[in-house]
Amino acid sequence: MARLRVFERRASSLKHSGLSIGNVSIDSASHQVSVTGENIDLSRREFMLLKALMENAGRVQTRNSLESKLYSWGEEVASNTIEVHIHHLRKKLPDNFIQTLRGIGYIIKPT
Amino acid sequence: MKSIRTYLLLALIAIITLVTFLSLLQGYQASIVKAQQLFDDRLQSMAAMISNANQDLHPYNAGTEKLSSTIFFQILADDFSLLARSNNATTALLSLDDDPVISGFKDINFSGYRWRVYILKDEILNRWIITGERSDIRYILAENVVTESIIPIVLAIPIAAFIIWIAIGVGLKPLRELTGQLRNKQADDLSAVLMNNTPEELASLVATINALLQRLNDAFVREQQFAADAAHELRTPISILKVQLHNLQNNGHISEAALLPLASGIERMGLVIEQILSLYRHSPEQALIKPSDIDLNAIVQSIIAKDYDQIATKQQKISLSGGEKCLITGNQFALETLVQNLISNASKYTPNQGEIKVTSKHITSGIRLIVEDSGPGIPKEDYERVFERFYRVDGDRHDSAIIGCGLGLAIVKHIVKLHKAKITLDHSTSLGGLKAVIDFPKK
Repeated sequence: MARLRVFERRASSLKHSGLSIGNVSIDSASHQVSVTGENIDLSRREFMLLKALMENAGRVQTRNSLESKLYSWGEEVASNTIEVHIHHLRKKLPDNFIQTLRGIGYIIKPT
Repeated sequence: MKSIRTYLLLALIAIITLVTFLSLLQGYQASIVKAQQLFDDRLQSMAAMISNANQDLHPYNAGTEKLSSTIFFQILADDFSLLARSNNATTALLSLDDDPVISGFKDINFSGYRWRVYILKDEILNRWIITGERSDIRYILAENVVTESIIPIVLAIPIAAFIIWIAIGVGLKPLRELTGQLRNKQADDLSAVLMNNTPEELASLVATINALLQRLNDAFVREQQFAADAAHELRTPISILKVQLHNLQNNGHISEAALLPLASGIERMGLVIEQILSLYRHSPEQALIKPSDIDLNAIVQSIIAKDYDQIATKQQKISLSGGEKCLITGNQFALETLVQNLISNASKYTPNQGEIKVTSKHITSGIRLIVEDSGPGIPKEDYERVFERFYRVDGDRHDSAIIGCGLGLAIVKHIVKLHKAKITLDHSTSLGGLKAVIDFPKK
């Protein structure tokens, strides 16, 4: 059962080039992000971060797992890198779109 | 309580005392007889000396102090008139009333005392020489001699007692060692008792204990095996039930509400079986096969992330403090199970909108993991019992809305022990609920 559910979830988020939660939409093909229809500019890493969180909406992404998604193995990552990116992302996104679990990671709740 | 040591000590001291006094009694009588003989010899030789030294016809009085203060003498003429005497002798005639007077020893009563006298007939000067001594003084003297020889023996008894006490202690050391070994055994350590130089008397006891432990261990292993096998066998039918239920739910002819109790029943059964399996999966052998350095903090993060559904459903707030790398040596799977049980317990027993706080940090003795919640907590008197298998606080009156089988903390404790860590339960002062603290040793 659990495996089935996981599969379902994966299938749903798999390679639809467009994905939107609430009034935030991303298009992984064109690397475009829009909030209530207006395009916003994100750096490459910010986009990857937002994509990772949105593709896994409803599931907590730990700092470690986000780091491994953003940086290749062996790349030196400062301990607060993810926090800095999240900080920048938040300024461009609606309030409380990305939620913090202190010490653990981040989550975007599906609507 | 009866003590072998005390018993042996008392018995031995009693025997020693008895034997000593019997021999002393015998010795005392023999000594007194000997002393009397010595004193008699002295009286006799003194009389002979006086008769030899005092050859003049008119003897004079003389002191006897230089010879013996307790002895007196009298020299009597043939008609028993007093010729001379020692200074300490009476002028009165001794009542030598028997007829005829003969040489030799004699006990007479005179002026209120009993006397031992020796009468010697001086054939040359035709006179009597009498030497004498008070009998009671002789006894006192004889007793003094005997008593002085007894005192060291009596004084030696406490010393003997002390030495016996120590000797018994040394002799009973294997027994204490055995007790110590049994006492230090963990509740579920059923390995044989090993003793060096087991004395004959204890050998059979040790053998019996070991046989008993072996039988217990066999039974224990059988029980474990049975539980594990049973759980494993039940897993498949439960999975089938779940699939069938899923089909029923999608059928559409049966209302969802009717299936709900069935679903929760199956859910619960599945949970119990998984718990039982995970309890027996963490055997010490397995945990020790591949111990590796594991970051406890990463485990906590990933478990919270994995189980966030449960926490989110109850709208609970969860946080992890510390956040630095906390390396411990252990088994990844076991540690995940441990953290998962603690956090799911915290979430389960904390009401909606409650709070859970996890902390991992370095302390001087190693790594400390704390899981606190704002739930109702556990009464202090249940702190020990909640670790028992299938024990649930309040037993049957347990809030049935919470699915659980009472194995979670038993599993936690089991894993904690495998990692040589220590778990303590406490009241969380910051959140008001339960606070579980696990201290892992330095790796």
